[in-house]
Amino acid sequence: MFLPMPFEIRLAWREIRPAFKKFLFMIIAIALGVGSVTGIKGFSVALDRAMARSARDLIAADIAVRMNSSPTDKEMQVLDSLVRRGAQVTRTTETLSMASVSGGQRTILVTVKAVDPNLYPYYGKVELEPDAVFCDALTDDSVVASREFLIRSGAGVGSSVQIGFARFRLAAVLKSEPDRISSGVELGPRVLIARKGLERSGLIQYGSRATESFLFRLPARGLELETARGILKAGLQGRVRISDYRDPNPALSQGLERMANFLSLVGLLALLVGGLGVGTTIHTYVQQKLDSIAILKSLGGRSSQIIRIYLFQGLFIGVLGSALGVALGYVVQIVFPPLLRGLMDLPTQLEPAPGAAVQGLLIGIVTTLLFLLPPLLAIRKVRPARVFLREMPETHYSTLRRLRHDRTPLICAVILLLGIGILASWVADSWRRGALFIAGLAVAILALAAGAKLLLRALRHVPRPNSLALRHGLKNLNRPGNHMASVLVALGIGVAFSLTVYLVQTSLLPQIIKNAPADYPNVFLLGITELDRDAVWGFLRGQPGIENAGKPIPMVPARLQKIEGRNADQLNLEPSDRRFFNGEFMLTWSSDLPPGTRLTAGRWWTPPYEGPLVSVGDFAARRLKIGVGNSLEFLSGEKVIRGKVASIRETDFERPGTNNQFVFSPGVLEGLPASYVGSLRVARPHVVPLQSALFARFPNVTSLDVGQILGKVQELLDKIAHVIRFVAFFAILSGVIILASSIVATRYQRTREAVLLKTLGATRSQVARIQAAEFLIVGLAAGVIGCLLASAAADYLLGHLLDTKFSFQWIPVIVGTLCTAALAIATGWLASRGVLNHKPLEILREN
Amino acid sequence: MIIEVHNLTKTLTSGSHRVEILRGIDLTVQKREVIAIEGPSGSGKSTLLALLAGFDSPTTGSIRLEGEEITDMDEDELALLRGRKLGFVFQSYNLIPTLTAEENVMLPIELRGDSSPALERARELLNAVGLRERFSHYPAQLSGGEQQRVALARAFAGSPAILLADEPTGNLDSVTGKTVLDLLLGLNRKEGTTLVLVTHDAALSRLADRIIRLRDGKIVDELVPGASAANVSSDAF
Repeated sequence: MFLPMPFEIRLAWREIRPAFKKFLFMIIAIALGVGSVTGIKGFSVALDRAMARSARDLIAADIAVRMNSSPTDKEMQVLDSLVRRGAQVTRTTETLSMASVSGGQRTILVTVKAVDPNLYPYYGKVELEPDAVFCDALTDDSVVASREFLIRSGAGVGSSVQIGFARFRLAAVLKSEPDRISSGVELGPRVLIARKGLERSGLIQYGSRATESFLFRLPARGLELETARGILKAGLQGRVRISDYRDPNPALSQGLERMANFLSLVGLLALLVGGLGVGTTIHTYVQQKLDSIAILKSLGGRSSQIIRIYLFQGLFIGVLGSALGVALGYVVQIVFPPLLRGLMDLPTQLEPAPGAAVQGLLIGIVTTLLFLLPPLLAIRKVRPARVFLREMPETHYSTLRRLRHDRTPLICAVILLLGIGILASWVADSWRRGALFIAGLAVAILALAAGAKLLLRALRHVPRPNSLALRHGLKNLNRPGNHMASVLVALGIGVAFSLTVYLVQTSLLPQIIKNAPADYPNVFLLGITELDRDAVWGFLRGQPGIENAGKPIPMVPARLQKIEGRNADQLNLEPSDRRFFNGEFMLTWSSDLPPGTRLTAGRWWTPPYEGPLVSVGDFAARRLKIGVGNSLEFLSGEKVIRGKVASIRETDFERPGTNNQFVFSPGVLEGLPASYVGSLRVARPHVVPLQSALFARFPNVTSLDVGQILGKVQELLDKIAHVIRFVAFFAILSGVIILASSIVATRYQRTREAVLLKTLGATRSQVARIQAAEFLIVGLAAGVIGCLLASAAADYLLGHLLDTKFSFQWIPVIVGTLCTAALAIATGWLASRGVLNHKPLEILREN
Repeated sequence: MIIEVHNLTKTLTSGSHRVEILRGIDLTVQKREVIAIEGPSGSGKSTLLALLAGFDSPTTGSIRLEGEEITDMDEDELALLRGRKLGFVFQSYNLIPTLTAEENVMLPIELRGDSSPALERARELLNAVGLRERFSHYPAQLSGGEQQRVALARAFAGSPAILLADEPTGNLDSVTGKTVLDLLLGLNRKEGTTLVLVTHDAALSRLADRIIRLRDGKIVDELVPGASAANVSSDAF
């Protein structure tokens, strides 16, 4: 038995039935937005769950400690204390090195990870190809390496590979290692080596940069996770990263969460573009329904009843669009992870996340209702007298006077902004980010709306074009119910966002390279021992293509102990700054101000040096709140190093360099063991031969080719941009749907115009050209506005946030504008299909 | 008295321009009476009808329907009043294009909230106006005469005490117009409704109990068809 439906719902449904096509576009617009939000949120939730499920595998242990230098004796005692309480431990070391294959021409940079194959991994499995037991494959004389290593070095399974001073047999291809997710992004392909092999290679020497991890397996009883964590935390004083199976990689989880939140906001942007579309289309729809509303009022319908009728229609759009969006979200969830490949290694099994679906559903419905508010409230103003006196003159007031008389539009705007702000905060999991999103969006919309209005006004004053099609196309932009400004904003937002991402992606590195002076170092040498120092520079002098060999820069690893006599606990630092304090610093000394730097405070020293002085990079000075005159205390090995801050230096971050934060005056670090780095300028064709020759002579020296590293960074940037563009695509698609929706909403008018033109003797192709001209102008206008906004945004991002310069790029702007125009014409043509097919009599008879 | 109008004026302002549309109308209508309002274009006929329906508020004056003053009612009170007491027939039919004939007729009853007898009543009235075969047709699928017959059925659906009709045959040819008129008067007699007609059509006026002539917003003449002209208010002459 059916329950009788309330009258308003029945009438709403009766109205939806014949106008379903108009509704369909709004439903799709909402679905696209909800789909992108749900998909990305769902992906992030599913990933969290998958990580929690295989958490032990993801760190290959119960609890893991990761540090950027070798532990001190005291720290070793803390680590050993867990072993004494029954835990098992295994150590892994990751570092950069050069490697070459015998018979191969190329020497390549690799990431070496040394493990004990008999213990590692405690959980999960190292997968090899051909399939083999890990501890059988990896011996003291063999290595396993990723497929990328084989491709880049030309090696095959069984090849002989030189790493450092030692040679190894390549035993198998490394398909996956369980705790790979903990390592982050790396500069070279991965090679796994046994710990004994690492010793043999001679890679780790005093001052070498390596990441050490200690993986613990806790005993079945006697040592709880919490207790173990407590011991490590207290003993290692925050200098290390401790992760356990409950949160296998806090930095990664946070990073993922931040990324998911950012991308969800981009998704929300798509949803808001959709919402805007729903608002304007419903507005047009209500405008076309004014007569029906007046009739309903004349028959005794109250405003509240009629608002409810249209509210139900809006809810229908919201609920159906959001439900479709949730389904689309699952598709996004499937498509999304492959896009991230190369950015991060993801667990393979992801399952749907119902929480994100509910969130998406609610956000979709609320967004629809928010944008429905203004057109719904406008229903109150429809006068029933319209049925009699459509042309009755009314008293006209200025906008300001109207606003003073009726505050509804103002209240609507406030509710809309607040509502979107709350949704954005919910999606971004932060009030601050929600507010920033709203502020950014408001600026973008205002800029776009102002641009659109100005453009439309300017087009009205364009001299009459000779072409009939263009003339009519221009006039049609201002057709009632067309909402051209909204269409331009909707399309423009999508274009602006996508192009901004593109401009930043393609400008950032080229700009950095362009700004670098011609003689800037392009090869860096790391891990040069005191013993090798003179031999290396002697060797370099004899090499062809070296334009500037630079000077050896000494490096003394040390830890900051105190600033003005106060340790990290007493300094009241933010958690991230505290971690920075506790990290290992490379101290150096210099008599001259290092190149590419300038002083922002204090003075550079001149001989004779008054006591131990230190110059601090402004990055460290800002984070650690260090000022000129402060006293600093470091510990290198067992030796205490003190210095008084003589100056603060600003380092040019665009230039790749060693960028030591703490430079001492000559003599202070004397007597301390140091390693050296070199920065050379080498003619491009000589870089690879030099790397090979250097490796043949000094296998423990790692040489970094800046060009190659920048290529790697660009690759990473491209992947990030690719992911953002994937989500931004939804915003463009929403814009297109809104254009289509606006065309469908004015379809009847368009059909009438087409018929009238035909009656007056226009051919079918003339009418088609007039319509194409209109869409062309819309596309060009949206493209121009979007591209200009994108250029302004890229200029701001690169200039202010990323500290480089942006030079206006004509080609992407022209291509972007033309693509938008093509998209608009295609959409317009599809949405107005059939308009030209009506016989004049059919339409004229209706009147 | 079912309708009492006293000193009704309506002035519109557009910028600095003022237009006096009605200039002091006094009018009373008896229950079941049929009144025809005549006058040239711009004389204020439709405005008077709109004010009687509560579609707009007068500048000054009073309107009482069945003793109830409507000029101080708010929008919702007026809507409820229309639902209870008034029916309308318009020159341009004013059917809702997205609803079928049957659904259009059901509207006044449904808007009042008593939906159960709506369908039967709608079908009974559509039968009465000869549209038995057209229940499920949309307005665009009906001829002008058929649309006006649906509008007639809708006007009577809520059993209003007063029916206001604005040029009900104005858009129809003479044969169709005659059919619609016969139906209108037939239903009026059957339902016992008071009828206020605005018309240009002399044939239609002659069927009324009383003719009110308007010019420049004033009543200039009041006649009883068939009788010799009995000037009630002739201050314009």
